[in-house]
Amino acid sequence: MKVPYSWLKEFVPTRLGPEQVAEKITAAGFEVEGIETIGREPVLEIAVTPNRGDALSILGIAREVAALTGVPLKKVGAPLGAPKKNKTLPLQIRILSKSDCPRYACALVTSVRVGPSPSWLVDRLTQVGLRSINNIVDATNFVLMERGQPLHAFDYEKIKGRQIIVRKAKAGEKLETLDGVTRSLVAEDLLIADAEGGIALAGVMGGQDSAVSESTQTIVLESAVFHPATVRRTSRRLGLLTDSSYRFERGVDEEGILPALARVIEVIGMGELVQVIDVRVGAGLKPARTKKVIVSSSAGEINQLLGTSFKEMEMKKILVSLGFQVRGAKKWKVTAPSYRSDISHSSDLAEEVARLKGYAAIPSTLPPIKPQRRSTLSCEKKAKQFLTCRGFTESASFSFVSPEEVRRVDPSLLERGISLANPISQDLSLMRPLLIPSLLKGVVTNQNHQTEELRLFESAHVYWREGEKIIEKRSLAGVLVGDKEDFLETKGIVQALLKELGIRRGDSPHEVRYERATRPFLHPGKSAELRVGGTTIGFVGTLHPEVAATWGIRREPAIFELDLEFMSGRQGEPKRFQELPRFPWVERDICLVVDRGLEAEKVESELRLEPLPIDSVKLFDLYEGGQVPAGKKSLAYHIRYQRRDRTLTDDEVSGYHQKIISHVRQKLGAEIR
Amino acid sequence: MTDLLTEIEGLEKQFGEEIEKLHHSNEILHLKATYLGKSGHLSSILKKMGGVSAEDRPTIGQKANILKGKIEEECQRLLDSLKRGALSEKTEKEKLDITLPVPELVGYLHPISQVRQEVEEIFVGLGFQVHEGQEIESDYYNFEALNIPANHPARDMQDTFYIDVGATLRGCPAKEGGHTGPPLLLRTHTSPVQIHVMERQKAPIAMIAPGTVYRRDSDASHTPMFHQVEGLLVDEGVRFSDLKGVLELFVHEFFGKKTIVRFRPSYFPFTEPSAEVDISCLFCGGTGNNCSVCKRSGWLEVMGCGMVSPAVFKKVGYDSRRYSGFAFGMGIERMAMLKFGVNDIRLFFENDMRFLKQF
Ligand SMILES: [Zn+2]
Repeated sequence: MKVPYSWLKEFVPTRLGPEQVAEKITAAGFEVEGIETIGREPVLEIAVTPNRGDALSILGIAREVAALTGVPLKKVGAPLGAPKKNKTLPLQIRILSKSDCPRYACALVTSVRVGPSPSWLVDRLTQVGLRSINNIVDATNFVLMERGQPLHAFDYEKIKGRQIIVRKAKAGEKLETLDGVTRSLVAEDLLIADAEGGIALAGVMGGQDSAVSESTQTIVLESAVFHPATVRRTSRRLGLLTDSSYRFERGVDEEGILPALARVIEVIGMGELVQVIDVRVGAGLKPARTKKVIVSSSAGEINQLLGTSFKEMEMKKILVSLGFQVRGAKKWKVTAPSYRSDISHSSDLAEEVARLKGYAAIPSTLPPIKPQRRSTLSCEKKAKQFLTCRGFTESASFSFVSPEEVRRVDPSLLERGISLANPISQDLSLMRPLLIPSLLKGVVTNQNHQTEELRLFESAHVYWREGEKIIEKRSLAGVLVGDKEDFLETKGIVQALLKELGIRRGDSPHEVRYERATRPFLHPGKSAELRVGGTTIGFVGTLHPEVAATWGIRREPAIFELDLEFMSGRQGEPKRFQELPRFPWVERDICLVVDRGLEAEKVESELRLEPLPIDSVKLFDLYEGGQVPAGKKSLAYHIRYQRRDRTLTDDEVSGYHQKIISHVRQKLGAEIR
Repeated sequence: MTDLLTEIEGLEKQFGEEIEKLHHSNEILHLKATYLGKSGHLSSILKKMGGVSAEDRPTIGQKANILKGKIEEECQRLLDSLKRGALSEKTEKEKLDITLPVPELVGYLHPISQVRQEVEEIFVGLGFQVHEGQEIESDYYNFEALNIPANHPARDMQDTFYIDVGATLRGCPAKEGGHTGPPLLLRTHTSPVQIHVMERQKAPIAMIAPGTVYRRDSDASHTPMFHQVEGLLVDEGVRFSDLKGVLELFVHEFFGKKTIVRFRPSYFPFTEPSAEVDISCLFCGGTGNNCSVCKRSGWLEVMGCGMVSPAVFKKVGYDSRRYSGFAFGMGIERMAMLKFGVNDIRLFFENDMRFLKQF
C-alpha cells in the first residue's frame, strides 16, 4: 500500500522524517519495502499482512505511528451534517441476505455537478497510484484510501423502483460491471439490486447502468460492511480483485462507515445532503465483529509467553496507545477497538506488546530439550552416501513432468497417472510415476553441453493411483552413461547398494533375486527385475535402444530405480559373529560347457551341492565362440571346500568334486572340460 | 713366523685389490669362498701353522682372525650396497610423472541436499528429531488445521496446485483417520507435518521436517517446486525468548558467528506472535552499499517463525493453557543461494553438471 508522507502527517504530525517513520513501522510489523518520490511527495510502500485490514489506509497507518511515537492522532474531517429538512426523495433499503451484510448506510446528495476534480485531489490519487475519473468517483476513492472504507456512488435517477435490495444473485443473472464486462453470476454472489436487477456486485465493483455520469445530479453514496468471505468468493471466482474487495476481504471497521460518508460529502464539497439511511441487522459477522471481543489476559501471562519481565504499567500503556481498553489489575479484561478484528486471545495481546516494545527487547534463551529417541541414519542418507562415493551426482527435478515424457518411457503408466487440476503448463502437469524420465532429461541436458559420460541419481517421491487410492512413495533412481557395456557394472552397484541397505542377493524370502525384466523401456536382453519374496522392489537394466533414440540419447545408458520405502521398512538381518575357520580350505576348479541361455545363477546354485562342505563358488571365466560350439558357453569356477572341525583330506575333496561333476552333468547337461 | 705374517698381509692386500674390481653379488660370494672356504687362501696359510713355534701361534691366529672378519665384513658391505643399488635402479625405472591428470571418480551431493543435511545436523544436535510427510495433502492439513480457513485472505500468501481428482478418485488415504476428502492439493509448506506429528504423539515434541513443497509461481526468483525445513518445539513453558535463542544459535552455526540476527513482527495464521527472521547481509556485510542482493537494506530475510497459535493447539487437542511452543520454517533453496552465492533459483533444477560440480 502506498502512503504519501504528507497525507500521513495530516493525521499524525510527527517530527520524524519518512525514513525514520519507515524504520519505526518496519520494526513494528509493517514492512516498508521502499520510499518512492512521486511528484515531490515521498511515498512509503508498505506491506500490510492479511490480518491487519485495519491498517490498509492512511488512518490505519497513522494510528500505528501515533502509538509508536506518542504523538496524538489528529481528528481529520467534519462529522456528518444534518440533512436538509425541506426536501425528501424516496429511497428504500432492504437487506435480504442478513448474514452477508450486517450494516448498510447511504447518503442522498442532490444538486451535484459531475466534472473534473480539483488538482489537490488528482495529486493525492496519483500519489497512491490511482487515475482521476471525475470529482464524485475520485472523492469515493480518496476516502477509501484515507479511511479504508470502500464507498460507491450510484446515480439516483437510475435506481429503478427507488429501492436498494441487498440479496443473493440468481444463478445465471447478468450484470455489466464498471469495467464494461458482462458478468454471469451464481447463487452465492451478493448483489446490490434495484427493483429490476443488479446495480452493483457487493463490495467488488459497481454496475455500468447505475454509474455516475456527466448528467448525474443526485447521487446515492453507499457505505456498507459486507462479509469478508462472501466478497472474497465472488472476487476470486470472477478474477476481479479491486481496492474495494481487497479491503472487504480483510475486514472493514463497522464503526467507520458513517465517518466515511461524512468525509466523502466533505470532499465532494457541493450539493445538498437530503437523507442518510443506516440499516443495521442483528445477525453480525463471524468472528463477532459487531460485538466487542473481550480478552482475558494478564501481565504474567504475557511475560510468560514472551520470556520477558516487562512491567504491567508499561504493557497497559502500550495497549491503551493502540486503542485497547484494559480493565482490572493483575487479571485483565481487554476490549479491542472496533477496527481490530484480529484480536481474540491473550497471545494476540502479547504480540501487540512485543511489537511495540520491539522484538529486540525480548532476551534470547535456550530451552531445555528433553531427550528424544535417537535418529538413526536414514536409508535415504545411506544410499546417497553410497552412490556419491561411486561417482554418482545427485540431481533434483520438478515432481511434475510432461505426460509426453512418461509416454515415451512407458505408456501404461499414464493410465494410473495423477494430474494437476491447474498446472503451470501442460509440460508440468503430471505427477511423475517414475524418476527415470527426469534422469533421462538430465542426460540430454548434459549431452547438449558435451558431457557424454555421466552418473546421475535422484531420490524423490513418485505418485500414481491404485483404484481410488493415491500412492506416494520415495523412490531412488540412477543412470550411468559410460563408454562400454554398463549393465553389469550398474548391476554390481545396485547389488552392493542393496547389501548396504540390508538386502543380500539370494534365494530366501528376504533376499533379492534378479529375474529377467519385461518393461517396455528396458533392453529385453539386458535388464533385470529385482524381487524380494513376491514383491518387486525395482529394476536395473540398459535403456531400450529405441527409447534412447526417441530421447535423442546417443549412447545406451544403464538405469535403475528402487522402491526406497521398501528398504526403510526393513531392519536388515541382525549381525552375528561366526567363529573364524581354523582349518585350511582346498580349492578345485571346474569348467563346464552349457547352453548359452542357462543363467549363471542357476549353474551356481547347482554347483553348491548339499550337503557338501562348500565354502564358496566363484566364477572366474566366461567364454563363448572359438572352440565352444555355437549356442553354448563355457563357464569356469573355483570351488573351495572347507570344514570347520578338521582339515579335509585330498581324497575326500576329490570325492566331493567328482560328485559335483556328475551332478551338473546330469542336471544341467553340462559337458565338463 | 714372519713369513706367515707377511703372507697374511699379502693376502689382505690381494683381497683389497681383487674386490675392487667386482660388481656382481655372485662374484663377491665366489671371492669370499676363495678366501674363506675350506680350501681357500686363508685356510691354506693356517695349515702351515704346524711349523710355527707355540709362542708365535696366538699372534698369527689373531692376525688371521682379524683378516677373516675383515673379508666377511667387506663382502657383506658390498653385497648390501649392490642390493640397494639394484632396488634404486628398479624404482628409478618405475618413476612416474606424478602430475599426470587422473580420472576423479567422485559424485556430488546436490547443493539442496547439502544444505538440508547441514540444517538437520544442527537441529539434531540440539535434540530435534527428523520427521517426513506426504506431499499430496488434504486441504485440512495444509490449511484448515493451520488456522487458514477457506476464503481467508491468508490463502493468497500461497498459490496452490490442486490434484485433478477425476471421476473415480475421491479422497486421500486417511493415515490418521478422518479429515479427508476433496480437495487434494500439493502441500504449499511443510507445516502440515506439525499437525500430523501432534496428532500422532503427545508433548513434549522437538521435531524438524525437511521436505518438498509447491506453489504456483514461476519466475527468476520462484520455482513451482522448492524445499523447506519446518521446526516445532512444544513443551510446558516454551517462550518466545527460547525461539530467539534457538534460531540465533542456528544462524550462527549456519552462516557464521559474526552474522547479526534481527526479529521483525510479521504474520502467519498458525503462529502468534509471529516473526520474520532477518540476517545481516552476507554480501555487503550489512552496510547495504550498492548491494543488489539485499536491495540496499543491509538485511536478508531467511525464516518465518512464531509461537504456536492456540487455534492450532485446539485443532490437535492440545491444552494451550498447559503447553506452549514455537514453530519456524525456512526455504532450503534460499539458504543455499545465500550460502553459495547462487543468483538464479532455476539452476537448482536444471541438473547441469557444470553447476552441480561446483558444490
Ligand atoms: Zn547486501
